[in-house]
Amino acid sequence: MRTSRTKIRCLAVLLAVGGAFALCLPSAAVPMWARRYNVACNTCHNWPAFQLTATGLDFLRRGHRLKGDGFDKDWTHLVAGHVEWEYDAASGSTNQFNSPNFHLHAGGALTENFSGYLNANVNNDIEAAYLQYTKEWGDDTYFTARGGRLGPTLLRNYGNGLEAGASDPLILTATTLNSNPFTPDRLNNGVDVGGRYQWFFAQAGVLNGDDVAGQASVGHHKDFYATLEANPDGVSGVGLYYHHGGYDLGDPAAPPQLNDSYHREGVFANYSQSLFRIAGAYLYGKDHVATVTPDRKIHGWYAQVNGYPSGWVAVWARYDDTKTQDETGQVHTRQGTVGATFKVFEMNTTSARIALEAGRQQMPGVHTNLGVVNLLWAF
Amino acid sequence: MTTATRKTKSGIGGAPEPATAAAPAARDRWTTAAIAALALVLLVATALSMPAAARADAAAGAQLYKDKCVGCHGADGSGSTPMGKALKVQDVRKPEIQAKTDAELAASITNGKGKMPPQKGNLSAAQIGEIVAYIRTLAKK
Repeated sequence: MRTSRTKIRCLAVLLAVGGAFALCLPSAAVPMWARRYNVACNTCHNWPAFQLTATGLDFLRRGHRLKGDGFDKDWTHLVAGHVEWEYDAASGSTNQFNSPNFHLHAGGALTENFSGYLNANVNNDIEAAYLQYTKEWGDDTYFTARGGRLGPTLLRNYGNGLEAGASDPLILTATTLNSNPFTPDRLNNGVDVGGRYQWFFAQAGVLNGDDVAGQASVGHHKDFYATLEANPDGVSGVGLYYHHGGYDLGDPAAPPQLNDSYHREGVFANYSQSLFRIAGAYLYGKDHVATVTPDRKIHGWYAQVNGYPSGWVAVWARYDDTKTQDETGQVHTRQGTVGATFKVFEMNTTSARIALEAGRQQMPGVHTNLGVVNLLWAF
Repeated sequence: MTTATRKTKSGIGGAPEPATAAAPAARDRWTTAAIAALALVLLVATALSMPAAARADAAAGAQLYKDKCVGCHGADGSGSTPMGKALKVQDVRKPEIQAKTDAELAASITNGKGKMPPQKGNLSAAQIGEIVAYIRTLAKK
C-alpha cells in the first residue's frame, strides 16, 4: 500500500515537473523578448555566451524595445526568469558552494516612447530597475533618457556583456584602490541621457554612489559619468569612458572623514565577427584623498579573445593586468583565464547553458588557482 | 493463374503437352515480364522521386522556417515583422534572392549574413536544405 502511494506521489511529481517544462515558453537569456518577437537567443546574444550582437546592443540602448513598439498585454512577453548556480573554487580558500540565485526579469515597451526594465535578484538585491524614454528620428538616430538603478551601457557591453563565462575583467569588477571601493561595473541610482547618431552613441549621467558600511560614505557626493562609442558595424568599435566621483573614506562613525575625489578613464575596443571576437580595454584612475600625498593611482588592461565555433559552444581566453599605487606601495596583479560555455539545451520551451573556467592569478608572493562552474537556466 | 493459362495455351496448341515440360518456358516468360514490370515501376518511381523529395523538403522546411526564421522574415517571407523592419531584412521572395543558388542561400543561413545570426551548430545541413526548399516555395505564393 505504502509502495503504491509512493509511486503515485513520484508520478505526481514527475507530471508536475514535466508539466512545468511543457508550459514553459520559448526562451533566451531574457526570454520574454524572444517570446515577443519570436526569435532565438542568438538574435541578440552570441549564444551560448551572453555577448551582445549588434541587434542586441541596439535593442538595449533603445530601452529593450524596437522602433514603433507599443505595450504588449501578453504577460509572457513582459516577464521572464532565470536560475543561476555557481561553484567557485580558489586554491588556499574555502570553496564556495553558492546557493542558487533566482532572477526575475520584467520590461519592454510601455508606450511608443516609454519603456521599463527590471532585473531583480530575489536572493540578493535589485540589479537594475529603470524607466526609459526614447525618441527616434529615422532608423539610426535617437535620443534616450533613463532614471532609476542603472549604469553605463558601454560597460554592459564590455562588462557583463562580455560574458562568455562567469567572470569579468578585473579592471571592471575586482580592482579597487586602497579604501576606495569603487569599481566601474556597478549599478547605482541616478539619471542619464544618451543618443545615437549613425555610428556614434554617447551617454552621460549623474549617479548617487553606494555607501559601504564601515568603510566609506557617499555623503553629499554625486558621481558623474560619460561615454562615447563608435561602432561602424553596430557592435565592433571603440569606446571612451570617464567617471568622476567622491567618497568620504574611513569609518563614518569615527570622524574626521577623508574626502576622496577620484576619477577613472578608460578606452575600450572590440572587433566582432560571427565566429570570433577580440576585445580589450585600458583603464587609468587617480584618487585625491585629503591629507594623503601623493595621489593614489590605478591602471590596468585586459585582452580577451572569444570564439563561437558552433551554436553549442563558445570558448574564450583573457589576460588581465592591473597595478595599484598608493602610499604603502604598489600591487601588481596578473591573471590568465580560459573558459568554455556549452549549451545544455535550447528548445521551444526553455534553455540552459553551463560555463566552465579556470584561471591563475599572480600577486606579489602569492599564486592562486581559480575555477568556476556556472549553470544557468532561463525560462 | 499459371495453371489456367498453361491449360489454355495447351488447348490452342493442339495436343496437350506434359505440364512438366512446359513449366520452365512459361516460368521464364513470366520472370521476364516481372522484371520488365519491376523495371518500369522503378523507372516511374525514379522519375517521380525528385519532385516528391523536394515537396517533402519544403514541407519539413516550412516547420523549420516557422521555428527559426519567421520572427524576422515573416510567414510570407516579406520581412514585414517588427524585428524584420528593425533589422531591415530582405524580402526573400525578391528575384535577387531567388536568383541565388541553393548553395548560396544555404551558406547565408549556415554562416549568417549581416545581422542574421549563423545557424551552424543549431541546424544540420539537411535541415538548412529543407529551409532553402521552403524559401523557394514562398516565391510562388
